[in-house]
Amino acid sequence: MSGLLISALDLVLGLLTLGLAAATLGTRDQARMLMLFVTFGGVVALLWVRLRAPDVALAEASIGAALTGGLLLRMRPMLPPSDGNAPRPIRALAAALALGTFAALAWALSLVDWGARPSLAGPVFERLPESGVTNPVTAVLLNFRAYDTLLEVAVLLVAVVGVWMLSPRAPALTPLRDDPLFLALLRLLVPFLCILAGYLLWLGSFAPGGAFQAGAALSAAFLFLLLAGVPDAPGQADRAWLRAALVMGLAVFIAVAVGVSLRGAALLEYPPAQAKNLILLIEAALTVSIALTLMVLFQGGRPASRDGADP
Amino acid sequence: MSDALPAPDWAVLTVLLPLLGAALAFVAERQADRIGFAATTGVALSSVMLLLQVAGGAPYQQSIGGWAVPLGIALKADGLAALMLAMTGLVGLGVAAQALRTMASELPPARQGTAAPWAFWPLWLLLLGGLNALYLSADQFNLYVTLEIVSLAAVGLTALSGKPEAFTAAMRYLLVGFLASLLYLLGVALLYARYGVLDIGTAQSLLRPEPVAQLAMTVMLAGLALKSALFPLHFWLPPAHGNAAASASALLSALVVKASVYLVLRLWFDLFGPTGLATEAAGLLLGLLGAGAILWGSLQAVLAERLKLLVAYSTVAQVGYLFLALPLDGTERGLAWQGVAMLALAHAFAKSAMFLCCQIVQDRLGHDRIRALTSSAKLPRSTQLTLALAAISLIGLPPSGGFVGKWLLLQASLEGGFTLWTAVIMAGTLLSATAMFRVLVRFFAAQPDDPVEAEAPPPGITARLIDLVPFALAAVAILLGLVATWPLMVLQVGAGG
Amino acid sequence: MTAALWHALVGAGLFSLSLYHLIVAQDLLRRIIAVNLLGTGLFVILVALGYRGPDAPPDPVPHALVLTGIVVAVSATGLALALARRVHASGGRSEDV
Repeated sequence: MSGLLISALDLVLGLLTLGLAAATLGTRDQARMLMLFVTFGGVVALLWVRLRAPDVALAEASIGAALTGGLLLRMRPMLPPSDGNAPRPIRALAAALALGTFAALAWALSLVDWGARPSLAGPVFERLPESGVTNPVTAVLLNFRAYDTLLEVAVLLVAVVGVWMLSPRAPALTPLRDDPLFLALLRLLVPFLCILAGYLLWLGSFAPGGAFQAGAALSAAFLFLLLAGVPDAPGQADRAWLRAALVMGLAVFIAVAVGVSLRGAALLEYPPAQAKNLILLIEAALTVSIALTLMVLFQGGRPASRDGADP
Repeated sequence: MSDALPAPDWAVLTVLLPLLGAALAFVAERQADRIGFAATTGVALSSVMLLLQVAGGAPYQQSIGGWAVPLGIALKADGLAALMLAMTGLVGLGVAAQALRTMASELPPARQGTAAPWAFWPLWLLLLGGLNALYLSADQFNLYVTLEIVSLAAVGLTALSGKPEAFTAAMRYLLVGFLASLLYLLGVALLYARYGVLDIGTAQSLLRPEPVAQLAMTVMLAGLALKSALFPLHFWLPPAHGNAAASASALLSALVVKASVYLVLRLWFDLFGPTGLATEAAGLLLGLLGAGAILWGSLQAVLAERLKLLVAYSTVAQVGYLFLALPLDGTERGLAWQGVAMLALAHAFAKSAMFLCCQIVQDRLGHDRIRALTSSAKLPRSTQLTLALAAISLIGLPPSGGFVGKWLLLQASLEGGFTLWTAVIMAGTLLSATAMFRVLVRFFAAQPDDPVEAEAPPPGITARLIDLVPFALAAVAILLGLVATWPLMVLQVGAGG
Repeated sequence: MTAALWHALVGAGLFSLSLYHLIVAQDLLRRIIAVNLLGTGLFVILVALGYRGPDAPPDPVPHALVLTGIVVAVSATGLALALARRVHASGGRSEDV
């Protein structure tokens, strides 16, 4: 079982992760903090690959590092830095709390039997053939624990409503439409990202991928269109169809959840023969809604209305 | 619907109806209030139907997706869960009815650019769906997701008033809530590391009193205590509840804090108690923090200068009482557990009534400084009466639901010979009586010179009914005491563990 | 020491380090980043739990939980940044939060 043991790669990845986190949180300069944060996200994505979690790696690289990083970079100019630090007694207390937490966690984790840990992997692989998909992560997310995902989509809607409420006019995005190089790049990038999104969506049923990764790719396409100043790009204006598309994932998910239960089955109990198609239907709707939600979060506010309604 | 369809699943409706309503209210923004109120009414109805079903002696249970635990997620509703769902539905219905009016007036047109009143409806419906999902869930990770819906929607509602203090309070609330959820999730991860399950029922048969499980319990309870604003982690609550719009304050104080306390009770009596993890020392510690909350919250309520802050600090104290069930009952549901359930129910109705009255006081008098309150003709008699009724239940005077709850707590305390807890309950009651009477005496001091202002043209029948909402909510808090045997009977359904 | 335990310890370190900075930092942006890193620390622990060596397929359940967690985290971060902007725009200071 030498493969179970720690290797030099593990050591380097782990120390790099911790070092980058310490540097991110320790630096005084906000701009450097954000660059370090994005680098940290990239290294964590490598860590996921090392731990054989490619689905998580894809999501971390696209959402955790790229999108969150971009979001932070975009909002930074609107958030004046504060150099203040907590008073000394609070710092001492926080240090004691953090050290205590680490000691307790390290102790507890070292007591776990890492060789033969009980888990749900057994039941998942046993029932995988009945799930309609062969990627076990997708099977968990959209079948065995689909209810978690349904509620998680509600969390996304809370964020959209909250951001639009707090910021009725989205802070301006500097359009790059005059930059010929950018436009040339765009003609290649946007179709590529759309194809990539479709591919990731399709891939999700049997390989790493799925609605979240596809949604992240599609949101990048939307963002490029916005940056290019394309007048009809999603998010240029608040329109009824934009709002409808934002909630489509939730609505389709609920419709399927209830629909399949009407034949006397449990909530979200797909008919086995239809499981694959229903999962794909939900994921397709989710991809669009997730992409638009991520775009709204990046915009950081509500676009101007073009339906004649007051903003 | 054809006859072939099965009977509606009321429990599932209480979760999915508000989520669908939120989506619709978001899309059809100009109809948001109608959609929102209709969805809230539907949810209230469903939750009452579920309560009647459970009261009939049959706890609700479903394996979502047809996947049995531990692979799938189970929904469960025993008597306590059904009561909490009905409480959420009914209090929500009252607040929503009031919001039909206040969400337009609460935010002056000049300020509507800073906070959008339309957002109340989708946020409230998402909160409602999240709360109901939380009460029904029997899965540790699923509970984490519901906690996140509840806290993020609550943050949005806190910021809705558009006041600068509200933004600061909401920001703090968000960071605290985020940390608290992650602490809870850390506990879930530790339990999964050791036992490999997420379902609470399955975990109950596996957990043993050993270090990993003890640490998991510690961080989960710490996260939930932070979310419940348990003393001394209460610092974020008074500014958040005291600066939110009245409808939002009512929801935050009456409903949102209940969710995390409910989860503490659920985990304590269903998971940590039966497995021997919940020790006497842990119960004592949480009880002492509860006692601190009762004394500190009540004292701050006595000292508060603004009515809304008084009401907010009273919530800090009320949360404290709920934690007394742990040291008083030990690890098995007993009198104290019944008592805190009654207290939680009565508090939801009384506190929402009181916050809605705060809005009326603010609107009519232009301020809510306690020293300057008078029995002015500007203040409707019904508001004064509502405040008095709500105060009766919050203090714990007969015949209210609050009285029954405190009485059961006291009985448990006296029977067990716990002098400390008896003294704390007595002192807390005295302090909260002092705080409430400070407000009420203002109304008894009649001021005949006060000129009667020209009344606005008599509002329509709907408006009159809406005006009665706070009174109705306070009346339910009293009524709960008069019919207490029924909720106490319902509590026993499925309470075997 | 197994690789999984080592990475779980890294996650624990990340969690604790971020906890310290979340409490002491006054800059809102830094606190928002700290709470994100805190979450990542927890996710590292979870994914490490899923790792069952180079030969056995990993446990997919923690992976699914982490995916959900990442989406929840980005939602909360988006909301937090919008809120932080309003705090500053309405004259509030990071120190008041």
